[in-house]
Amino acid sequence: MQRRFGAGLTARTVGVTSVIAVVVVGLTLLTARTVGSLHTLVEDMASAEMENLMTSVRLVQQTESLISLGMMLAAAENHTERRTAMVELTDRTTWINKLTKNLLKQDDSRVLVSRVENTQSQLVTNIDLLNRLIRKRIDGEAAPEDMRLIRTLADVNRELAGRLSVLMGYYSASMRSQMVERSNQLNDEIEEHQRNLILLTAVLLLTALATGFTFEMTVVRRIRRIQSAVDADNVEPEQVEQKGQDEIAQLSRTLAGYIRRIREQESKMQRINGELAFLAEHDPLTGLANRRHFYAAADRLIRNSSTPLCVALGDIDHFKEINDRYGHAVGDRVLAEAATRLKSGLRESDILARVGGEEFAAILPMRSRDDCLHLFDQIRQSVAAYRFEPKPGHTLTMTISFGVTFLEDTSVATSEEEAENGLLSQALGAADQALYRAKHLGRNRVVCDQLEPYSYDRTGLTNANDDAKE
Amino acid sequence: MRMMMPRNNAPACRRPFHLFVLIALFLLALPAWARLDIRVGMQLEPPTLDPTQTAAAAAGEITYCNLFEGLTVIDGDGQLTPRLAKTWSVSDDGLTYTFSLRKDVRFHDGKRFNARSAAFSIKRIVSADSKNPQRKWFEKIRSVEATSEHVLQIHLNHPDSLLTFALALPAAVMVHPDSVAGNATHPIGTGPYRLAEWLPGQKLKLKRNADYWGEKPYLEQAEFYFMQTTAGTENMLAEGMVDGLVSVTRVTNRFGGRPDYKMSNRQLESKMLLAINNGRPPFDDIRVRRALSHAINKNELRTMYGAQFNPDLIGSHFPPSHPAYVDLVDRYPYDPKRARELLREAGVDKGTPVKLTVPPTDYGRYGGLMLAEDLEAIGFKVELDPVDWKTWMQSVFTDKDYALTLIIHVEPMDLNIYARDNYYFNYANDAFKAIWKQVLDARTDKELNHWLGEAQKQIAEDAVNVFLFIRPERNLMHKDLQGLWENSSIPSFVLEDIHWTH
Repeated sequence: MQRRFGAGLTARTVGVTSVIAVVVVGLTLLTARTVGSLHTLVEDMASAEMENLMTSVRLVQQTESLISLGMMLAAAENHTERRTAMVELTDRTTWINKLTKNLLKQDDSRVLVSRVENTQSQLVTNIDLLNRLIRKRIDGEAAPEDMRLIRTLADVNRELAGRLSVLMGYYSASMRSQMVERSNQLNDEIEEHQRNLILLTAVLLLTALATGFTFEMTVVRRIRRIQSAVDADNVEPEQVEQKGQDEIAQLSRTLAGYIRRIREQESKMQRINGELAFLAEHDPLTGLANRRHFYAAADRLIRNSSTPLCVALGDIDHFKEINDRYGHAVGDRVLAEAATRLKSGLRESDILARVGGEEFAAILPMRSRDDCLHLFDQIRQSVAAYRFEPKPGHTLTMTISFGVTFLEDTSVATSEEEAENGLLSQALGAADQALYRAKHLGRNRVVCDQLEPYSYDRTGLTNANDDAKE
Repeated sequence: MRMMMPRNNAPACRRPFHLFVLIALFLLALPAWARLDIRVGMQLEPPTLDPTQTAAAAAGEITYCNLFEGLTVIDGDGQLTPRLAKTWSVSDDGLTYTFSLRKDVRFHDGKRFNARSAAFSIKRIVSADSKNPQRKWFEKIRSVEATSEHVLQIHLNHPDSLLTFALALPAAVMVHPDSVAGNATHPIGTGPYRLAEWLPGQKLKLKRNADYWGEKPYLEQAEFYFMQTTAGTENMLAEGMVDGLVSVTRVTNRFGGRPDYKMSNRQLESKMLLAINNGRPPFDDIRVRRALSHAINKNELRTMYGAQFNPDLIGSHFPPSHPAYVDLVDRYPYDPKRARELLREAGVDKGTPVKLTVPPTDYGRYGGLMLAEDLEAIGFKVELDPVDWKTWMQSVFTDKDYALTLIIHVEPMDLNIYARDNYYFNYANDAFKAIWKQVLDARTDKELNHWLGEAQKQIAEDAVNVFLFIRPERNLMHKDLQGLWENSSIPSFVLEDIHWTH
């Protein structure tokens, strides 16, 4: 059987499976990618951006503390106070420098970066200078202009620290807005991915439904149709058969062909059976029932009949001579003709058989013995009326003799089979006796077993017989 | 021959079953599973990562048993145990040590560790041009030879029972001739971690070495953050950006009260000194140095870490925990008046300027302030000179260009530095060297302790430095961290047993 991958179920299954697989894989990949990108985003936010935000917030705090520490330095009255302030200031500025370096690394705006860096270095220089001046002041070596410079520097430092704090505040604010923006972006992305996910899930669902529907239509329904067609009392191959090229259509055609062959076989067998049955019960030459059938049918009739029956035996007169003289073919023809005339003389339901070479038997319901005699005499006459030219110049006639017996009452014997058989053979025996007598009396006549030979047309009978002998 | 058998030093928590459970739990990816990294804060950034080339203890602190390993080790229980040497034996005359080395060890670059690389490492320590900070420990070595692929013999001039201890020092770790030149910045050792990244001034990152010969450590990654400022330390701790601080600081006390931190002990002998340049006037005068010893109010100074810490005062370069300790705390009692007298005797004018160089540590900043006050009380005009660690190592330690500096010596048993020529103290006294020779040649513990006592007395007598106190050694660590090597006397932060309990 040819496989077509274009339209076959296999191809369709592969196709549908692939579609579902692609959708599932796509869904998985999309989800993985989504989760991955979200993960990166969140990670970015949590680590880098969050840290930057923290750093800038820390920087604001630390730069603010510079203001008070600067004031502490400016107000120092002894070296311990001065050094303490310096230690704290150095510590803070070092930390601030480190933090800003990290923070500014990611900043593209050079102007702002350099502004921060300038402010810082100026602050550090000023602190250093202020420290030296304060030391001088504590040691009592400060000149009036030094004192003025101290005041100026203190003011400038406060301003610088304040400016740094403001710049850091700006960073903190921009970090915050950057994070808010990121968070919004994250939200948008999550929403978009959600939409995509829902869409894809819907596609997957539809694909699954379509697959189910297709399967129902292309496989289940059709198989059920085939099944119901096969289950029907009268299986019609045309109902089983389906159009198409797929495996089910091919299967249906195979099945239909099989059913057709079964049906052909069946009818053939029926015919043969009929023929065999006919052959078993009929004589092929005359088409009449044979002896076996006759007995069976006669039995049935005797058993079932409530009316009187007539049993008759007929024998074609001088048949052997016809055979010898004109050959078997003519003999057969004569037999067939006699059978035809016998058949047409009787009713369809009457039982008629060829029970020997040229011997016939009949059993039939009759009202009276006279009716029997009359009926068979008519048949005898119709046989005797037969004319045939076996060869040019020769005219063949034939006669038939009948022995008839009349069963007045059949009901006595109906109960026992043996009695029936006995009744039939008795009747046949009687008919045979009568036939014998008919032959003996000169043939071409109907003899009843209980009466003298009887003929409605004696002359005709005798003549005909003589002719037949010639 | 005496045999020294290696002690089984596997901590109970590292048996295969536990490892299995660990892996199983890891595979189950329980959300509550412990972290596999650690971030620790350190004050000093090492100038180099080669502990065989620098006196900066920070180099050893990061690399010891993490990046580099020695033939022996002082383990987390403070015991001397084998490391890259499996076993060793000593000849009866005590002059030959035979080490049988591990055969499955590779350096981070894939090169094999064998007796040749071990011999190279030790020869490098004792060579004439050695820069090794602990070379003094190995002076008795006559020769080193690789007698086979994995057998190393060390021949001594005199018996040295401390050789195997000396080999456990961070300065005696094993290196490979092919990679040794780059060890300062790209250390190639045999340890369970390898250097992943070093951002100078910021941090240093170690990653687990997948090819390590021994048991795999728990943590996959460790980061050391360098915290040069107190403000920064406070910020980082406050925000949980580090999981702990190695060594105590002024903020330790404050953060020790937080529920997520705990203090853990270290067994170090960190001797805080006001180190004096004995070669620079006016400190070349013993009276001036003694004046300094009298001038410093140690009882005041030792409160710098907070009231709850009560450090042991010392009068010499020696820890009170050692049996040979001689109490010399009161050799120079706090007496500014006496100090001023001594200065006057030495002809040091009032208002003589002096520079106090302070390293970028917590104790440097705040201890320096206190010292300056004490020094000014006896007439000096003090200038504090805060420097970064690299500068300190260069100008103070190497170039000896300083007058006074406040510093901590963390190496255990390092009294021998006073016998060294050209050490940054610029102390040269034949009397001490003679004593130290007796220390080295000591036959019994009693003899040894006696001479160690003499050595302590000698440097106290000479007032080489102002010996202040033993720093209280505490780590401030997250409470869920376990496996720190708390009882090792080696200044180190060994990662291999550290793990998170939550």
